[in-house]
Amino acid sequence: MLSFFLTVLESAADRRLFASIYEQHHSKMERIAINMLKNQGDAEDAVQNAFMQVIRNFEKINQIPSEELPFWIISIVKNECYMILRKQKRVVLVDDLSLFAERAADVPDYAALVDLFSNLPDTYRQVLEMKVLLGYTDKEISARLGITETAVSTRASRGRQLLRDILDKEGFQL
Amino acid sequence: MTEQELDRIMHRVLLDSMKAEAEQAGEDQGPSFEPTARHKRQMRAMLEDPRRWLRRRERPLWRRAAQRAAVILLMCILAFGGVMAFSPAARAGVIRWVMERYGNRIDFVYSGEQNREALPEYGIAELPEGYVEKERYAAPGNVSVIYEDQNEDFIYLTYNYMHQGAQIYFTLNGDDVSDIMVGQMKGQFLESHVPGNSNCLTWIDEDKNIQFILDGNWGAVDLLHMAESVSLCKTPN
Repeated sequence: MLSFFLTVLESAADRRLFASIYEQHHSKMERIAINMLKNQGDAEDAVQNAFMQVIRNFEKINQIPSEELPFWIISIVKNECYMILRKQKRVVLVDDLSLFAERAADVPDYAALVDLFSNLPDTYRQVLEMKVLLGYTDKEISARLGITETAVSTRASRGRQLLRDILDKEGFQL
Repeated sequence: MTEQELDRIMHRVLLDSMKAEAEQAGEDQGPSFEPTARHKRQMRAMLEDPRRWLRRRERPLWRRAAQRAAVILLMCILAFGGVMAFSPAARAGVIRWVMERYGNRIDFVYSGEQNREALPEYGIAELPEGYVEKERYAAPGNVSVIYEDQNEDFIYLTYNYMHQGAQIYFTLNGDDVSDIMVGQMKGQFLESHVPGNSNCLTWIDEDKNIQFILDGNWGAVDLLHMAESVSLCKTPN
């Protein structure tokens, strides 16, 4: 890990890129954090923790299409907020996908699909975002969410199955 | 549909759902984010040197403090009940220490009866403005106290009983070592010449059988002033 830290953000160009990312995104990150946590100190912690993640994963930045970067960063700050809420026991993660499985039958097109995934239980959303968007391993997700690796794997698998069921449905318009 | 196609669509769906959510968040009228001075300082430090900022934030406070030491301070407090070379009669009441210097290292080697009592709580009575005691760690035979100011600059006080089976050594990094008196007590001042590294003052209270070490980004005069103000806060129960 140490050698990794020694190689990232070493050049002036990297630092300029990092500063530019900060300038472009910090306001949005702060707004999301304060909206989720409702507390200035917690929101500052979440933003700072999110920037720590950005620095740790800085090498990935260049691989992320610029149009996706804002969402990648939003996902990070949201996860940090959830981490804080979880530590404070201010969030209860619901583990029930059955309602969504029922709703899946009524999803006619892509817009409705996005809407459905927007409303997935947080525990599923977080697992899927961390796994699919941020590229975290099951072990990392397990540590961050405080659930077992098996639970991570199960949620990811159910999320994928939900999507597959919708896409395979007759008449669905992608 | 292949797994890769499913992954690609999942990626897109998640991004689009986040996009919708982000747009909604922009419209929400929640509490506003009013950054504190501390947060602003953190962000400035981060932008100045992201890697350094990350490394500092990742370390536990005591390691962050220790990292700033002018010297690498290593303590070898051996387990109680170590081998005693003297007869019980001969060692009773004897307190001895020897300072040895060779190469880039200074060793303080102790002898004398082991002290199993808890150490009293010492503290710096005259701290520089803005510093407060942040954390205190008490281990058998050793106590470390960390003081921190708003800029996260540290002053580090540690002290330990001098007894058989324990020793302290300092690894020097081109530091100048000079003798110094802390009140009536003999000590050494270790001055670093590495930019950003702190200086260190160590002295021995033979009456109490304790060696003190004070470390911070301060010169000899200031460290000496702080050292002379070190006093008892609380005696062990």
